[in-house]
Amino acid sequence: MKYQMQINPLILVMLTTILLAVILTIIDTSGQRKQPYIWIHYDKDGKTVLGVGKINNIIELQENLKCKE
Amino acid sequence: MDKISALSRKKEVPTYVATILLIIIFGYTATNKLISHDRFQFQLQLIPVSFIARNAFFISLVIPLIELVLTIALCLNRYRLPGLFGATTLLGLFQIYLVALMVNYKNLPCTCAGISLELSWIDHIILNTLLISLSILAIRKNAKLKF
Repeated sequence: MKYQMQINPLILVMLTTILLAVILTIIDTSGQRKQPYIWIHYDKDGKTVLGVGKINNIIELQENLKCKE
Repeated sequence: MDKISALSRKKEVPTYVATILLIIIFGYTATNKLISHDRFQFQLQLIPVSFIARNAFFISLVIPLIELVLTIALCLNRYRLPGLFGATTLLGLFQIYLVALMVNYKNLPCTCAGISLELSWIDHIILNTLLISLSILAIRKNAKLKF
């Protein structure tokens, strides 16, 4: 008597997705990330966050600040 | 007989589409959030809602775990319907959170993972609405799949 194991294709979809997420996250974090700097603009009290964003380099941040001011 | 099987197959389509899409989205984001846990926690701390910022560590673990449980539930025929209900509830809560934050605050930090990082807030709301509609349709049809 032959037994044939049936694999749920949805489980295969899930496992592929998880594997893909792991590979892509490793690639994403090992190489150069896009916009590696995170800037936070605090209020005078130093606690309230007024704005948050991502930026490629510090010079770009300074330029942005100048424009905003 | 053929007509009946064709009709039942037609009924299965929304369930298949919704299930596969939700498995991909929840599976991908949950894995990404768990691997980059520190980043997700940091992003949550930046959200201008004190409850979320204070409990960032707890939330950053619970959300991807719920997403993973829902992904597994969606894969199994026996738990698919509760999985679809859970996914719709989670997406609904996320939609309320998105709209509430968008109305009240500017320059919000993005707590998304992977491909969805490239989406704007409006794109997120549109994608969420589509997914919620598809999930509701799948629940209404409640088709039993082969798997």
